[in-house]
Amino acid sequence: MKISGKVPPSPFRLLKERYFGEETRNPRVARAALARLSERLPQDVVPVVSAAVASLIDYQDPDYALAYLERIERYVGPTAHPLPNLAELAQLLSDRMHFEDPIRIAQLKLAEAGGAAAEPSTASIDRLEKFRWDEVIPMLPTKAAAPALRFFQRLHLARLARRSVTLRFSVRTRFKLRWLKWLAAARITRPFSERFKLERVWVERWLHMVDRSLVKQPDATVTIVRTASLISGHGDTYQNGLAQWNAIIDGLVKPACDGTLALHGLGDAIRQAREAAVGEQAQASLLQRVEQLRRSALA
Amino acid sequence: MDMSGLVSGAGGFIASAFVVAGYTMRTMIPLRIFGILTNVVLILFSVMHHHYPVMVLHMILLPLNVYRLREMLLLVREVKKSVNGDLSMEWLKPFMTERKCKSGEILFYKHEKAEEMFYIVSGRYRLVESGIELPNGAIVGELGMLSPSNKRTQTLECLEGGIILSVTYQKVEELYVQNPEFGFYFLRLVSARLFQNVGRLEAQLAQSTAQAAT
Repeated sequence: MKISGKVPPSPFRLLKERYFGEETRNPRVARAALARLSERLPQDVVPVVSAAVASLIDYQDPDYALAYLERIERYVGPTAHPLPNLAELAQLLSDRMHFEDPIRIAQLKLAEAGGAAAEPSTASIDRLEKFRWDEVIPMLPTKAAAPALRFFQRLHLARLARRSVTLRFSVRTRFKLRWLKWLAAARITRPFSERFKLERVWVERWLHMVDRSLVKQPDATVTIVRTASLISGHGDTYQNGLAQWNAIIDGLVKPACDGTLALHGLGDAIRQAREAAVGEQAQASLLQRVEQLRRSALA
Repeated sequence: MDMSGLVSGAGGFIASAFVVAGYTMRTMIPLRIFGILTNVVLILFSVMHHHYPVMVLHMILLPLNVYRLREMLLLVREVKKSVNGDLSMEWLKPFMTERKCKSGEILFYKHEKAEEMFYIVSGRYRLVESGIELPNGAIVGELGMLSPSNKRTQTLECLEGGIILSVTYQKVEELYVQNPEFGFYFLRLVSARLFQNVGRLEAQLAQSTAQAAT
């Protein structure tokens, strides 16, 4: 008589689980977490979150989608502070978690060409994208990227790291298509990169400011959530947006939440600072406006 | 009768038996002890047979095994001492890596997944949400390792630049798994610190209740 029983997992599978987290890297786990969270989310937020989870699984992996859900979960539940624009936050969070690095552009170009089954096409138009060296170098793991950037700084060549590098994404030949596929497949290395770490820290800082404003300046929360829209794209656009965001947060939001700057209309102040920043590459008018707002608050 | 062949043959068998016994060990301390015994027997065996490369290999492995065994025994001793003493976690220092912190730097954010614990050496640090400033010598984040949600409950900000030591939970987990005795005392130590926190909170509650009553 044959006795059927559960086959014990092989050592290979156990090693894979140990180092790559087999259990959470299953899309089913992320979808189950989404279903559980959807029951507690407001109706207008569910479609945004569902679309974001599906997209983040493609962008990175189910673990990354779970990280997104865990961040959204902070704003639902009996102990959480209610957020007036949760749908907007969910969308902006999704946008920021889909940060644009060369791997992302390769993924988009490959999807446009037909995905994994794409064939070389001479009719296809190449995509030329300008990145900065200080965006490309952090694609390396932290232990390699940090010394490389320090090397530039030590030689007083930091401005060289800020220079642009043009990358071509093409499916015109078999070789170029193969390279594109390799680059898109390099997404598995993304979580180990310095850029991934920096983006995680940025998202946490943004959410931290949102959380603190909910307690200290609830009227300004919606505006603080919207500051994330300052950052988009890649290259100079991304770096400029990041610098503007840092100027607003360091100059106005953080001191107001710390209690060192008595800025009662924080939301209005942020709006004014953002208006000053419209259309400028350097942060001169923005910094000037932030300084004016700080002076008037301290007066 | 020539006994030298018999002795060297027996030496080879004994050395092999030690190697096999070493592989059957589940935890680090007995493994290192058997490693040391194997090294000694194989050094003697290789000297008798003039196998100098084998001798050099085991001359290198012997001090390494002794060093690691001493490290592990010291760790257990320090944790035991700490459980019965001031509940400090200074014994973790040799396993920690140094890091410089700049003023304004955030070491971790509330709700973030906790992955490491910190030992404050110098500088000023504040828990943002509660406004508590942490003294030098304080350990932050040891409970995050054992909490089911594995999340930070506060944000830690550096107010004045200084030095901190950090150790990942993975490293502590490795020490825990390699050495059950360490694991046992580590659990006792963390529970004692948790009870100490609960006791402090109860005292604060009693004090505020008494103030409200008067």
